[in-house]
Amino acid sequence: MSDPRNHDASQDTAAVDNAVAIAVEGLNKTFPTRRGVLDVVAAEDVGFTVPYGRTLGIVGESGSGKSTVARCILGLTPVDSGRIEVLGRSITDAPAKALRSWRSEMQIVFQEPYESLNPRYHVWEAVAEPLLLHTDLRGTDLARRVHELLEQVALSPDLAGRYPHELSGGQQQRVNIARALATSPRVLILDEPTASLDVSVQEGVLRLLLRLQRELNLTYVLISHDLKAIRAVCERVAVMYLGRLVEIGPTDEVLSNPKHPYTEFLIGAELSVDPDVAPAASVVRGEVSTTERTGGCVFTGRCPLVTSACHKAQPALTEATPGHDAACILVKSESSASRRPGAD
Amino acid sequence: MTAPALVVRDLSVEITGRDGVTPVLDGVGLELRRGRMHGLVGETGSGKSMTARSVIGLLPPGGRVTAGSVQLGGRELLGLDADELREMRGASIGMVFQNPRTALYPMITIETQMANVLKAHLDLDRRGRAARIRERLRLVGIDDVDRIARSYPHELSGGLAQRAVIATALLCDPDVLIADEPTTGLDATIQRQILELIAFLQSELSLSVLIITHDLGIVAQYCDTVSVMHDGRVVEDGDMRQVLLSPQHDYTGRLIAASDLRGLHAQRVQDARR
Amino acid sequence: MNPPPAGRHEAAPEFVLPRHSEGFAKRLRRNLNPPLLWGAFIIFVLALGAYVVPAIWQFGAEIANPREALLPPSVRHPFGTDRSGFDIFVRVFHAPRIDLTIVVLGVGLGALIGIVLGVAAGFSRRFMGEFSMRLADIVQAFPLLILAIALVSLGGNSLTNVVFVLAFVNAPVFLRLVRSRVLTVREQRYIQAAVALGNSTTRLVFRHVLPNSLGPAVVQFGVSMGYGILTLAGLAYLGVGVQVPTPEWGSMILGGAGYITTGQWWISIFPGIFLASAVFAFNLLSEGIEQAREVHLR
Repeated sequence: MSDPRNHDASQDTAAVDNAVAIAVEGLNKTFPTRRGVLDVVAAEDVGFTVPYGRTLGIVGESGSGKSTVARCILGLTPVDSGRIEVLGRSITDAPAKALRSWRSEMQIVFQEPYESLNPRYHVWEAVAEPLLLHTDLRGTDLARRVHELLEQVALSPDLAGRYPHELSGGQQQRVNIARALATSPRVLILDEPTASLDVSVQEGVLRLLLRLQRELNLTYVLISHDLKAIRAVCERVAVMYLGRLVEIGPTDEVLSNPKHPYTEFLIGAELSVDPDVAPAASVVRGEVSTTERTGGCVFTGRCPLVTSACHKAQPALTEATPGHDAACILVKSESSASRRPGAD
Repeated sequence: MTAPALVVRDLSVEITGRDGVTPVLDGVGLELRRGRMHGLVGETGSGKSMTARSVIGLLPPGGRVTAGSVQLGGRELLGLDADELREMRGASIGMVFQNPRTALYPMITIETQMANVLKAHLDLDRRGRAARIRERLRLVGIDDVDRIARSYPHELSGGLAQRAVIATALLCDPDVLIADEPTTGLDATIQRQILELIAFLQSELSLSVLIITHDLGIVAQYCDTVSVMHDGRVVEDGDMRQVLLSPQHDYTGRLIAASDLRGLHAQRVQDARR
Repeated sequence: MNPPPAGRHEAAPEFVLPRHSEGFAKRLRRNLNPPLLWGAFIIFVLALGAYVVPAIWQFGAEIANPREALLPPSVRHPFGTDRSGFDIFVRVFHAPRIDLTIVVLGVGLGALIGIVLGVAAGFSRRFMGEFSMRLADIVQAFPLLILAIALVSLGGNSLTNVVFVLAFVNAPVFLRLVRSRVLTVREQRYIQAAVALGNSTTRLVFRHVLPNSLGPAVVQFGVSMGYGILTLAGLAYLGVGVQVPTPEWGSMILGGAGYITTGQWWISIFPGIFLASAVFAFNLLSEGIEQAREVHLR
């Protein structure tokens, strides 16, 4: 198979030296609302890096801006300001044409497996499309590669002539994954890839994604609202609330010892299938309001620990323990002490 | 022990469509005890929603009950005519569906739609209706009842809309509340709020709640008893702790394992060590 | 409704073949449906009759015989004759030569223009979108017949101009339909996915947006064909476009309209039946085409 990346190997080498596949810095994105009065801030000063071959989870509720960040990484949504580098190339000021040719190396799998597939393309056409766009494979070589991809995602080649609506949700998502992998990308953004799937199918798809990551040394960004999926797949996790990154760190550390009250609430809201593991007794009040901006910390509206200082300014991400940052004014003052009674 | 609030026995349903007759339920049985919460859990196509729809007499076009019985407080529901069913829905059974915003009629205010339900079932004057609507909205944890009552569905957040739907379902003091995926599509923190609300109402009003869900977590944390459905059958049922902690049926076991993704997590941790 | 054909890989190739290995004939059969077949059949019969009947019939289509004027249907003149003594039978069969040709060309051209502008308008929401929509408003604000007459009198009274008139009045209809569909389709997730895969805008439009936006336009084509024949008739009645003695359904119907009250019903009825069946056939055909296009979506 011809390798679509040969042409700019020099750039790649530089990127590998940094060992950073995705770097996001100071990302801002605001969507103007129709009335133009209260704009929706989808991302505000968001920054993180993802090393090669690793997975970063981004967790948050609707309106947290996690999907916007995912789209910005791929240049599908233009940013207002900030810098995004993927595989050592700047996405934020790349010309459209360059961006298009780089798409062979960075791909995305969306939440809605059926809606992501052109209803007029059967499986074969869907999987072959990126190969037609980015490689010189044609005829038998193309067919061989498509076949290989279907096998890779454990889809029976008998399904090649089927249309999306003739497939189950899990099969549709496998087609989406096969299509995303067609040109051997190195970065894969997974935007809630299992949210609309049944639990048993979800496990299969996540297992597949983990296997592919090992085999192909892929770098993942997994967007999810499901902490179980995040825990199962990601080494690091970033928590977003109203467009701000409020906490980031190693998954197990963040989820067992959260430093931001919002993360704590997210964990508390999780319902274990083990009847003996009770969720947190306290329930966070209120709902996310995407238009509510006070100038202080984004979580003041719902935070139970809110003090007058919280209204003054948005706290920056502060290191709580090595590699584990949180954006809460309480972090500094009690960086090592746990202030969560009986939550573990 | 008192008689169960809702009993379904040997319920079989088939749907006649373009491809002929498809059986969707095959001898389904379940028992909802008074003042308890029963979880009906299963994946897509398991028949859990179809069971709920059979109970309230709202089968999809072409659907037909071929055998079985549904008893609400000792009264047989199958075979009731359309008027009797309508009377029963709302008055004896309250219903809450997935996606609250589409469950509410978009063109009229919350108050108007709640008043319409009251008019259909209870003999109250205008003031009596307004008072009852506000009382119910307060009951579901809405503080500024007047503002919410005057709102249109699209002006409400998902969580508030679902509260309004629950308030509507409770207008006529039903004994049984059927909640079909009441929190699917809501954010985790809101899901938790709604579930806490349903649990609160259950004890406050001694409601019997049938909750239909794909999420075993909801069952484990909120239900007293559970039926696990697969392929139009109940494969396992009984006390929630017993079913979840020592599942007898293979499918239940697999569902539990898949639900918390524990295997994957363990594998990742192991991989990281290597 | 259409279970995918089983056993596509009897030959057991070492990998999947590019497309359905089912043959063309099989795929065609899969896509055929009753409305499509009936619509095509009626149109075929009308087109065939337009050449066969005048060739074998004893009377010419454009030869008047005043001595046999206003005769009721008989064996000699199955559909009777009109006031000039034209044999209605042969004229009714001859008419599609002019009617169908002009309407297919006119509406086809209009549809083409409308679809192209509609895609452009739906895709570039700003200038192009506003501009073409306002233009469509202006065109559609005029009563169709008056507009057509004005255009033909400006451009000269030739059949070519009649074709342009039909195109002109139909383009806005297709423009609106396609534009609104494109506005919906472009927001679909699979379009975003196609961008993420690296499709160029051109390819995006032609491979993803357009095929998924054509449905309503295809159905409209049949409707517009029907209206087109009626427009043609209206124009002929006003002396625009088709001229006597060229046989044309519309002018024949209108020519006989005055005689219905005096008992000579046959002059209008027979061309009326043929016109109606042609309109019906085009509606069936477009409906059938749309069904065939959507066959894999259901």
